[in-house]
Amino acid sequence: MLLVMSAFSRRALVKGGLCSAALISLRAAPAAARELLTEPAKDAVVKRALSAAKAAGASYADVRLVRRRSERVDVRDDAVVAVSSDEEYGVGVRVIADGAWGFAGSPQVTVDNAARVARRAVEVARAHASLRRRPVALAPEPAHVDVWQTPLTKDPFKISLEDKAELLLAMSAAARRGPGSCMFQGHYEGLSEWKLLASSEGSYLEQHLVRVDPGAEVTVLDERLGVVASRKHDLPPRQAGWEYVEGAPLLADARQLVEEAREKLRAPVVTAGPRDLVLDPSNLWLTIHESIGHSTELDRALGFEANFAGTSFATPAQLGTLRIAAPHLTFYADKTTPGGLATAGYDDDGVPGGRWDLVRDGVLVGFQTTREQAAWIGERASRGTSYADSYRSFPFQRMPNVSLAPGARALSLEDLIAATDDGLLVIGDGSWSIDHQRRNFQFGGQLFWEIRHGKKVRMVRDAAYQASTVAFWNACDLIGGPASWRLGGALRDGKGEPAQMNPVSHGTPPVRVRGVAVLATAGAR
Amino acid sequence: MRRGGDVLTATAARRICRLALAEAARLSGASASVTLTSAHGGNTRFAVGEVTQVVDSEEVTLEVAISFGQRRAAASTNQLGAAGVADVVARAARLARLSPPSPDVLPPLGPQRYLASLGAVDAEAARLGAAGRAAAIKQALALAEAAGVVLAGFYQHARLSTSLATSAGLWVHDERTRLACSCSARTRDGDGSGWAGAASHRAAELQPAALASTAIAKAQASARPARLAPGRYSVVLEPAATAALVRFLTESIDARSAHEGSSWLSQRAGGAGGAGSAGGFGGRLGQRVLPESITVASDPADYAADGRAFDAEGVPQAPTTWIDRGVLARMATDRSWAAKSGQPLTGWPEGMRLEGGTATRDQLIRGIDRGLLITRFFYLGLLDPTSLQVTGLTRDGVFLIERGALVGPVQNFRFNHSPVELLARCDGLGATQVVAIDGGRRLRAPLLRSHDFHMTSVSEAV
Repeated sequence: MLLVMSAFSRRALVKGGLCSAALISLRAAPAAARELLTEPAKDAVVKRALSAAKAAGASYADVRLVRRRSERVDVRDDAVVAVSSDEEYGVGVRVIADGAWGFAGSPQVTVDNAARVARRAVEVARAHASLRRRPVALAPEPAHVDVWQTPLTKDPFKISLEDKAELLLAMSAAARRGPGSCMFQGHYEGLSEWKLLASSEGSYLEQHLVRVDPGAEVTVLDERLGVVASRKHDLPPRQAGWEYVEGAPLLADARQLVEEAREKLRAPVVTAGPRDLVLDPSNLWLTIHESIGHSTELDRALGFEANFAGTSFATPAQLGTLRIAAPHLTFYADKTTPGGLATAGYDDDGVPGGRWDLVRDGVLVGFQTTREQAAWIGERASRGTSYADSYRSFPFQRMPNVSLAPGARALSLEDLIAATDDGLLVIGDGSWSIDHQRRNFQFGGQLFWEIRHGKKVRMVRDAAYQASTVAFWNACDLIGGPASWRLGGALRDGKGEPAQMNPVSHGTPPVRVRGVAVLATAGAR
Repeated sequence: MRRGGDVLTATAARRICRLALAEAARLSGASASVTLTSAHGGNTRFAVGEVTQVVDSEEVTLEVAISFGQRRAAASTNQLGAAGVADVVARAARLARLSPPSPDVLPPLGPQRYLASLGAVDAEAARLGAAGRAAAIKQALALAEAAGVVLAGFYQHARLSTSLATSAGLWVHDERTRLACSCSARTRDGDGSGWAGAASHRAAELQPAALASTAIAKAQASARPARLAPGRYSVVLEPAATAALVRFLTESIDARSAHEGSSWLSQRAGGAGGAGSAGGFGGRLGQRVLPESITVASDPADYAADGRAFDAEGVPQAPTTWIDRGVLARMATDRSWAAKSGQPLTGWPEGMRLEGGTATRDQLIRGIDRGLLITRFFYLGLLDPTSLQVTGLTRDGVFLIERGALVGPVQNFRFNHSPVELLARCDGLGATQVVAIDGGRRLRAPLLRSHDFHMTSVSEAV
């Protein structure tokens, strides 16, 4: 399930430096690592939590100190309408006691309270231990002692609020300059996630992740006809510093957004029926997220999410045999994608980030796992996809960056359009919905153009495409090359009960998919 | 937070709010609004017939908004010691000084009179803990084991406090309990699936074993579904399905969206009149927007549906009818929009409901020649705010109705339909139930019968 999202930009390809920057993991010697960021007071808290859990009878324990900060600026037309700065800090202890999981969290980060929280985690585990069929067992993992942080050149929390407001107001002014009324909404959000994870097995990991999300949407209206049209910028959130916001063409694109919205206002409603779709990466990332990303979560596939988000059409029994996509398509999971929102040095089980195939040459070959889950499909090590969104949240399986590998031929979006006789080009993300086994989906978009004889001929509006996952990906016959690959993503992908939010990115080239059902979505007004 | 994780009492909350206001009072020319919330609760997840996640959670949030004239910013923290309080005030003040002046900034609200919220705390719910959850879930799992189906579910409860205080003298404190439980049952072959859920502030209204029984019966009854073509069907929606679709309507009673033209309640060209004269759209206030059988209201004393005597800005809430027998009686305004538009200030209500009726499920079914009984919907998404077109899917039990009787299970569908169309064609209402939509925001909604519901494609998902 994707609760809150933001988007992607083909225009906003990040400057080479950031894109090509390898993620820097400061794999220092244990003693040096501890000294780099961690304070002795925090060390005392985590040690006390671990010893208290052990004394209370836990067979395994991990403790996380998590500090989350966010800063947000919202602009509407010529005014800053909201400015906020949120901070949250706390301690969470997860244990296995009598073979059952238990977890407790508290915002009081003191030695005594950490011990209380640890004992509480053991107590709630024991209260439920008789309701386990089998004891929780974790895949082996070496103890890691390390420090990791988001590679960035400009800490966004050190950039003044005035600079952030000024950028949004300048974009608003640029959008609203010129004839006709136009409403502008812009935002900037910066997120900082600092966490220290220590486990009873000896892992001691300190990480600091920084994410930024600039965004804008324009709305134009035709008062005579009483209709409105909106256009959201395709710029996606990114794990990066302020340099990503600075390098994005927000100002340069402002007028174009308005022109596209005006064209949409005048455009006819799409004609429903089967069409060949040419899907830009700014649209396709979300389709990959919902149809491939969620369907290859192992807990979902085995029924652990049945009460909320559902199960999956893909099951472990089909590994190596289920043809999910056409043979030229490979989808991979990657916790190391530069700039990827889910990229990290280690997951919340303390497992280093890696890359592996989920669908290779069209066939299901892998799932996303945690230390608890690896053995469920006969794997000896976790894929490292555990994540908790707060000190008070239970870490569980969350989606890594899941991407579609580019094709071998150097095809561009323009090449795909030129090769299409009668189709629909879809740019940007719009509405989204998929069933509880990730089969039947329906996606909208920001902009739609009819393609005739290899050319974009006119814009249409109020369209969505509807298909079934396996049929859709098997009908994909053209794919862009490496130069056309772009990263999209969302800051808040929801999963679990109570719902937790996971930031995640998806890279993809443009593709063409044959004969997909297109609907007109406007309805009767 | 207090040792042991209790929620904040009125006395403790007032002390912290006063501390924050005193910090703000030291800043020349500052006015301040403080919101303090605390929660202590627990939750248990279960799936594949066993418990999979057990959590005990404590949280507090102190949010301080500081204004210097028209410059305003907000900051929050969960660190309630003197240093934490001083830091959050300083952060808000620093950001406020840097913020450009905003026309939307209003002085803080002064003292208000609120309805008393007696009875929002349920003693049994307040006592509930891990052992109580485990005992209830054990019964539910045993029922599933005996029935030979696979059970998954979620049971959560919390005690909560919310306090508001301002430098203009406003003070209000609310405490309550909140619970929710849901169960999904699947046949072992994965061919049938059923669900049941409940939400309330009272523990007695949540019986996990009873919910499990309903889910199990649904799973068994929905196994081996027949295939049915997409098309337009008469439908009987159970309350969870009604709520999932109607929430798009109850959440769109916002006056500002109507003015800006992005609402189904905007006055439009053609059939619904012209655009407003002041650069925006007029609302359809006073007009018939739905049939006479439809009433949408809110009640701050409907604690099961999260009703509360004040909204997030501190605006007092009274029982309010928004759509009165089909006529748009009011649209919701926050302080800023009320000041800007001159419309009456309503605040944003909780405790919303679509009024029900007296029909039983069997009576509603008897009135259908050919149609569908629908348990719930999944993954709804708004397609068009001006028509409230929504897409989504059926889930956990769809049953064919022929000549006034249930015939058997059919597969799931995707729909593209609007709650406005749903209510415009509604000709039967039954008892209401509180529904936690996607596990969160609550709405009281009825069993409902409607016609020409547009199922646009088949979903193979079970």
